[in-house]
Amino acid sequence: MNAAAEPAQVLSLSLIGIPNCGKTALFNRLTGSRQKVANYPGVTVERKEGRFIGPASGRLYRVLDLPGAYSLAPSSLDEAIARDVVLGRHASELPPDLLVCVVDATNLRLNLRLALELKRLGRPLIVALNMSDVAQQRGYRFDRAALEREIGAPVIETVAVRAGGERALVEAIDRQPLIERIGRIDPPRASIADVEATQREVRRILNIIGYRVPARQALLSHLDAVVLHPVAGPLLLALVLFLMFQAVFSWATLPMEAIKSGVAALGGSLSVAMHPGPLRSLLTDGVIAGAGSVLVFLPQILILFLFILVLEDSGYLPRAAYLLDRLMGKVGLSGRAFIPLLSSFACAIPGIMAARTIPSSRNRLATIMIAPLMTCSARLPVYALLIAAFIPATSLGILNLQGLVLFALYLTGVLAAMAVAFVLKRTVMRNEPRSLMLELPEYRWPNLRNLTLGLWERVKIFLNRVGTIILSLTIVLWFLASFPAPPSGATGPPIQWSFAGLLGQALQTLFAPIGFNWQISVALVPGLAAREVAVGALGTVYAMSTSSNADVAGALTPLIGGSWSLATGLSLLAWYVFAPQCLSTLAVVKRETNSWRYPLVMAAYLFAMAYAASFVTYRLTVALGAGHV
Amino acid sequence: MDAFATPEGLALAPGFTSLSVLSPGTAAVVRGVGGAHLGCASPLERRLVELGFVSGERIEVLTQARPGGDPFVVRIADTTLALRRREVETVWVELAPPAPPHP
Repeated sequence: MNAAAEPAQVLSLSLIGIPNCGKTALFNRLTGSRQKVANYPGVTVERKEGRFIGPASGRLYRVLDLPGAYSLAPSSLDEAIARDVVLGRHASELPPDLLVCVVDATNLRLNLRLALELKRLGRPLIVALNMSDVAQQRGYRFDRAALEREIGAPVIETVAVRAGGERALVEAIDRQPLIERIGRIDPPRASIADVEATQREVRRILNIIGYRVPARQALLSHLDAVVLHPVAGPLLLALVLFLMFQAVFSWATLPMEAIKSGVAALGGSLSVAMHPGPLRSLLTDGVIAGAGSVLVFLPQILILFLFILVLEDSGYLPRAAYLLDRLMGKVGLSGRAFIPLLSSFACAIPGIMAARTIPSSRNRLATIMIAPLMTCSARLPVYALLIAAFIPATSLGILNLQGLVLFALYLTGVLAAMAVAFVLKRTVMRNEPRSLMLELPEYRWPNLRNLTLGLWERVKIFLNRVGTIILSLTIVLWFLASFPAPPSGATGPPIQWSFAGLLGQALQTLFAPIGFNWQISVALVPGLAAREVAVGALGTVYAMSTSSNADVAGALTPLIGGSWSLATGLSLLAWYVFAPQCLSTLAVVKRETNSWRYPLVMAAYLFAMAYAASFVTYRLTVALGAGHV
Repeated sequence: MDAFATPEGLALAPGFTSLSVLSPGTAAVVRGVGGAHLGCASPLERRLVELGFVSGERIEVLTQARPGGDPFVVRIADTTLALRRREVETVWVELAPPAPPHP
């Protein structure tokens, strides 16, 4: 927005709807790329805010994409947030000037109730009749004008997945007079008789508007028969997950090589162009070796997110949650925990936030506590580096050994999570009634635009991290690793005499029993802020500790492969399955649980498990004779 | 008939049964949820009513997880839901005559 052209009026607009109504797609359509990207280390993460300017009125609309909610009588934290915002009772949000209730035109029977509930609040309301294209194609019939009359609010057809599908809605929003502002509203008190009365009202309206639903497509029923089948379903799920992890390793190779050689070329040309000295060392050893070695993992992270987004958009994820419900019930979790846990494979932070959809608070807490055991994408750089250095790329039929080891590491994390959940079930979660109650939305083709926007959001967040936290930490580390300079006549690599070297040697007493050398110990410290920094830190430490600093970003793999024993490599892999070092995760846990207790317990138990796992791994492999370089 | 109009009829009607005893592929008509007809409903029962478990709605058990028979997948009107046994147990249904062919 141009600061010089002040908008006539700033209005806040809340987008609300039941889960799976296509609300977020419509939000993307309304606000395009003018969205505030959630910045994980900060606060106010769940907020998805965007803005657009009314074409006729020149008003500026601030649009809030509220979490999906079936009702204003909340049964989960997510729904409570949506209710509070809508009522104008949320601590940090302005009361909305206008509510836009998004309803799925292909399931008005389920969607209309919320619209009626919202209408009674007395706030200005527009109903966005989403997926009206699908409704038309599939032969849904109803009288829109009659619906408008019955609800008593404008009903606007929208197609969130088509360009221009939001235009009519934008115009309708712009036409709203919106003169008086309504502040806080008391929560509506609705008895069960009222709920039933509203449901009868919905059915009466459907009757009046002549709502006709075509039979469910036979293809979709057949698809469900396979996907939800007691035997075929779990097999298909295992196949999908296995493909996902193989793809992360094999598809990403080409773009990764490209980034790697780009980074190496940049470092090389800088080394040639600049005079030797502290500045050149800072740029090549600090910035390029540090941040560059993390940047390489962008393709893998994107592929992982692409899979998760496609599974989510297509409607498969809730079905997977159903398939896993029984298994997860054995350790006291709900099948609903599958979605937060799968997101945690990308990053524990959105995963922990997605746990808000779990109605039972103890169940939610257990899910939060085990979320960091899912191998997040920040650990992928570390795994990838160590696997490349220590595991030969032998192919076993169509599989390859490196992919299998990666799969085993992910699996270890999952099994450990299940074990922890089981302990929680037997101790703090006893007699907790378990609930599932999960809607399985109709299958849908994933929308390219939404996938692109979703991935772009990830790219921005990742590059932001590389550019801020990771870059600054690697620069700080470079300083620590460069100063003070070794005394004249000293032997060995200069880093040994620096602050970082001293710190690493001090920490080594703690980590020597699990086979970590002082370089690893140094790298673990900045890794506290973000796990992937450990790779950059190793890059920096080794660039500083070898005499020839050419092309270290690309050469880290053979370097550590040549200087660590297999036992050390495996021990570090085991460490990172549990690795408690991620301050942003702990901060989010603090915020989500509203207490210091859980983040502290989490850090303590993860550290203990990491140390124990590394100890066992190291001692075992040394005993098997792999303790030498 | 309407279960809401005659709450005492719910317990007496011989054709009424809990949804949880239906085998996959069986269709039925919802007659009520838990104690909703008496004006008292747990949050779980309330949510079921909000999701569309109201008297007169057609329902079908699509499948059940095996082994164990829990959770269930049911289709109520145009919505597919995965429900645990204790959720399904609170729903009273009446076995339906065969579905009329769609026009």
